Amino acid sequence: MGGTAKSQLRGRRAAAGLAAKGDPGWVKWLITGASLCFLLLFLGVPLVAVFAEALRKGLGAYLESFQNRDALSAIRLTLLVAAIAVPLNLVFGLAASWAIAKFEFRGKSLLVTLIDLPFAVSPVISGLIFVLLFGLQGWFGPWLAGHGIQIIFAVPGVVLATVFVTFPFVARELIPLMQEQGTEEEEAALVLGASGWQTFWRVTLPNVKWGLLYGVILCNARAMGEFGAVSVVSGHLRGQTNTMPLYVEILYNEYNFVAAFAVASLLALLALLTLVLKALVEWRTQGESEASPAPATAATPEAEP
Amino acid sequence: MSIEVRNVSKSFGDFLALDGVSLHVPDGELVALLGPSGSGKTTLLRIIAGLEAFDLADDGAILFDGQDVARQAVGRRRVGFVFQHYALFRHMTVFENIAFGLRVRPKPNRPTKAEINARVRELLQLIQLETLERRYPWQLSGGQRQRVALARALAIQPKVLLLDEPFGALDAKVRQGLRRWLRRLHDEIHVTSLFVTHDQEEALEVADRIVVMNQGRIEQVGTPNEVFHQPASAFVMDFLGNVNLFHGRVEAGRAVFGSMVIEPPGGLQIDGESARLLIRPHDLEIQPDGEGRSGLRGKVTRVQLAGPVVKLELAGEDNQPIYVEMSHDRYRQHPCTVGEKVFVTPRDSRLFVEDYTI
Repeated sequence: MGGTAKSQLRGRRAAAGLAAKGDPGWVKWLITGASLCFLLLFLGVPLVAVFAEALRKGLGAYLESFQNRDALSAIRLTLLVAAIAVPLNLVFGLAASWAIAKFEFRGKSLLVTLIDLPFAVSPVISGLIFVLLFGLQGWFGPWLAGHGIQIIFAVPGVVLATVFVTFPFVARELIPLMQEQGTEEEEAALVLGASGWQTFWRVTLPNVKWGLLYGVILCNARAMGEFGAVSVVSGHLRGQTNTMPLYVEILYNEYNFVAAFAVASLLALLALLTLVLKALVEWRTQGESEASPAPATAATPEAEP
Repeated sequence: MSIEVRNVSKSFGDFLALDGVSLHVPDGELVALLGPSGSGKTTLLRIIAGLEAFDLADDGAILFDGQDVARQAVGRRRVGFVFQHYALFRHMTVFENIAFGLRVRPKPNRPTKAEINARVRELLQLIQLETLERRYPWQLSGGQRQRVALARALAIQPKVLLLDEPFGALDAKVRQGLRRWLRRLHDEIHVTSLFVTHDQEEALEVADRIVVMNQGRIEQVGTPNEVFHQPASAFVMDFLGNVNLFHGRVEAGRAVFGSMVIEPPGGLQIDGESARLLIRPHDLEIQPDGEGRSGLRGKVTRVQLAGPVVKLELAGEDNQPIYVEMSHDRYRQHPCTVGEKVFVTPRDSRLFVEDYTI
């Protein structure tokens, strides 16, 4: 084997002036190795570090971090926010992409641009907009205060900010998919006597179900992990308006490293779970769209330590 | 069930897709809407189905058996529609696709499960795909998909069947087989059918009646025989097969095309008008010499012997190409070679002078 490699090398040197027909083996290995090193350094090492730090004082201390009242409240709030934001954006994303892909109307391009707005704006600015709108000094602040409604520095603000930041995920996923599928199948269903509702449930929705699931997974990951926008509107009230990412920051600033990394490890686990689900969904969609069920090539472990 | 279209227009922005079209399709006929792309044939089909609304003209109407359906929703018209690209439901099996129209019926009219099963089986047999009922659309060939689309449309027992370029996306061989099959199927089930095509051969072979469309208007309606042999306009003649076109002028009651003079019985009363003469390649005859007859001189530039007929290409006066077709037998009587000078006379021709046809 070494012999052939050497003779290949010699051959290559001899043909140095000619264009190489295939990439030489060492180039392939070099590029692959470099990317793997990079991946390990920037994804693998931090991931390992999170779990190592979290478990530094043993499993007992790790588990104890979650017994804390504030920790439990942060987890609960994060789940609550996601439970509100994800279904809302699911419905909104479906409605928007349906309207955009299947109908012609005025202001369509404006709507498409607006959907992208949360991606274009820094999350901190998004949070600030809500403070400017609903804060005590904001536009609606005095009116809201007069009616005893608190949005900023309270749970509604956290929910609002999260909904805003995560709102493009589902729509962005579905619009190109629905546009590519066109309207012929819907027309066929209508001609066959199906109502609009039946057409939606039996034709449109099944055709986009995997894309929808994909969007929901990404939306959920962002809803649970959002920091910037939530940080601005939450006010960091322990046990009240702290979500998990905010709570991690507080613990870290208090030099409570084990607890900080323990909560962070939960978020990391969520990220890993998201990746696995994402890969699974990708694999499913591939299998559906291609002529033959695709082999499991999509399930590449992206950040396994 | 008969279909009647009355003075229907449709515009998309500035583009007038249909310009006051009126059409009657008798009960039980298989009619072809034939025309080049952009002639409005698909738009007309979609308007009949209810997938597109026509412009609210003063008296535009669509009638099924004399009943106005213009206000009826698509699903209520009971039309079977076959889309050009099949539009099969991709996540449903062949069986589910065909059963769809029955399963979505409101409860009181919905057939029982057993009835649906029986109906789908019957249709599967009709399209000869009994063994493939569990396949998904992507597992079928183009021809199979088209047949499933047809079965799905027939499942609801439509009053009329509308097909949009039903064989457009198939390759030539499959296409031929499938169109003969469609003809036989129509002879069996006799549902009033209207199909769109841009392929004149397909229309001539399959249809009882052909509607030739051009630029949003109907040029002619007639049996294949009529539209082929008595075309109402130069467009129809040109569109239905190859033609040689000559431009000339009316002089002293006769139409003159260079050395070729056409003298219609009774003469022409409109002197000075420009005239067009259309001659099909098989209506031209090659003579070794003129013998003082009316005709054209030309030089043979190409002889194609391969194929069911012999095709000759001549360069006429002003180097205008002239196409001639004849049987092999006929060619053997007067073989000619490239470069040879010959004389061609029309056996049959059609003369079109402004608003005047012979």
